[in-house]
Amino acid sequence: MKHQAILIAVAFLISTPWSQPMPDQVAANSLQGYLQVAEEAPEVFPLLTKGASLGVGIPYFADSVGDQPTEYLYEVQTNLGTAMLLRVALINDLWQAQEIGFVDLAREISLVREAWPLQKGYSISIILNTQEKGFYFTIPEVEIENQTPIVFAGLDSKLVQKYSQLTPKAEK
Amino acid sequence: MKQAFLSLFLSLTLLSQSWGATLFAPVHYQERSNWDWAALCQTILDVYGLYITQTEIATWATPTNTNTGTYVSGFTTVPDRKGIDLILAHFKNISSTYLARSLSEIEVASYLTQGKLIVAGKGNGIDIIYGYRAGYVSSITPWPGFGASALPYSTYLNEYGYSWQETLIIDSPRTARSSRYIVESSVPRTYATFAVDKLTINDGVKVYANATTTTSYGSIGSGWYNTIPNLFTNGINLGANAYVGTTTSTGPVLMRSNSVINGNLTMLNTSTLTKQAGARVTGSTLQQNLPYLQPAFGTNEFAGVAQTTVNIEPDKARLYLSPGSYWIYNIKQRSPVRLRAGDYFFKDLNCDGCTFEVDASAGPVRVYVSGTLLWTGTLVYAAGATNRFMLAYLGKETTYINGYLDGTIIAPDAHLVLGQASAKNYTGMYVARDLTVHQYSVVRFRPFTFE
Repeated sequence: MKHQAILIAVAFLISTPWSQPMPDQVAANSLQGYLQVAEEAPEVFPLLTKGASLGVGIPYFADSVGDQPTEYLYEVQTNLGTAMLLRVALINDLWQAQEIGFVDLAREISLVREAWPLQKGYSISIILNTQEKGFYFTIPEVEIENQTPIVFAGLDSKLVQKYSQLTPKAEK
Repeated sequence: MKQAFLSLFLSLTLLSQSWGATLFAPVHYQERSNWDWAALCQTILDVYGLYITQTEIATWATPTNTNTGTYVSGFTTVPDRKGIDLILAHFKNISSTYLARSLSEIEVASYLTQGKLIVAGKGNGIDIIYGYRAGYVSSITPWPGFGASALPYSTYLNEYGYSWQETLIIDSPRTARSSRYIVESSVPRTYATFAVDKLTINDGVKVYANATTTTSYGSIGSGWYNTIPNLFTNGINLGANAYVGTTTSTGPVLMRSNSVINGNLTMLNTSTLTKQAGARVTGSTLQQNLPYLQPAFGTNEFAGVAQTTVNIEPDKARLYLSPGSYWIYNIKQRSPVRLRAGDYFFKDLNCDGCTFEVDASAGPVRVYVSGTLLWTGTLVYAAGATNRFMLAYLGKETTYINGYLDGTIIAPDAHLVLGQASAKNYTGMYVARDLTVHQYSVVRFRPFTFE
């Protein structure tokens, strides 16, 4: 009887859609894999320090914002702040970790976060414009539909305050 | 069957042997929407010691269109487009092998272990593969914001749904860069003291803006550059009662009691500023992105140089050295060495109380040391301007400058220590991976004239 109950429970878990790993879980598992490599070979991921954890998953869209994101960029937090991003994508109905990196984008996103704090209720989404090969962010909580370009300063110093003004989507 | 086992054995052996293949490759983002190939060529040429702009590359490779794509290999004449293999051969005589396919995981590991970068052509652009480790591929995508990333090989094969279709293996041996290139491409020229990682200014140190002032203070800073940029350095530790000018830091800044930054403090993260009692910043505290620097990589000036040790005993007659490469020089007290305009390369230089006389009347004097540098000597200017002497240490050992050396000192990959002994006055530019200025030293900014 006990064995039967276990079998039924297992069968239930396998058959239910929510038994499939969700993006948060996939990202967490993937980060553990990267951390193992980083521990043995720090030169591969110099920013990935022991104890790194995942921040919020940011919806990530190519070209236009859809209702349901099929990709997320997870902020990888170290004791020094947001160091990298981990990309997770829905491929063939399965959430799969894709890559870790985007160091400069991570830095810019942390600057966007300072201008538009999560604690004050602002979420952000990232849009990749594949034609222009540029990144944009949008804050859905503000009244006007907006799409603000992310500027990679490179060697040119740019003030953080650059992200406090949003660009209305119509002007983009 | 036996062959399959042998193949599997060889594969596993190769993978285990190739466990450490991560090559140096600086990230360059494409400056125009179709210039991923130009940025990629810039990265590879940079690795081979040639720094040129994407515009220069495109002017030669695609002269009839200022923003267009080109090929991994080959060329067309109408329109005029030359492939990456031709570009690399043209600018730096770099040889490469083209394959109209992707590489297997074993091949990726193998080529990287041989020190060969790999260009991967995909449906949506091109990448450079610079690392492989335990199933993970490290690559650079030149799109702004992407940069360096790491992902499982199986994912890399079909990332974003675009398959890896063609390959260019960069065959030429990676040559060491010239000392001058390393130093001059990586040195910020507006700071009196700059540490790539950790800058320690001890108690009572004063950093002045020029050779004569006692009221204007010189700039200091810290920052870092690497394959994957490490924005977070050990920052700056400013001792009690130290006085410095405008300060920038990608890492945390600790201002000990009564230390003063005369001017603005610019940081990547202003929340990592710690001020003890009485410490003050006279200007604003700003948050900005900051420049990165390059660490040093091997030099190549010693090919064919006789590996002899030259010992010059105390009180010897003046030695006139011509620009060129030397092996080990041990120069004792009161023995003067006259240097004229040009570049000098020493494997080891031990100046034990010696005197360097600089004749810079015909141009700057640059001294590069790649092994060990010991300096307890004196530097005097016999002729020419006093901003024309530079000592560059390209090794990794902690190096103490315990004598009078009024000139610029660059040590991109070492810990440089100034003012530990009685000599406390320095005039020039001081740039190192880590830099410590001991207490009550005075540093005066006098920029080296690089030209």
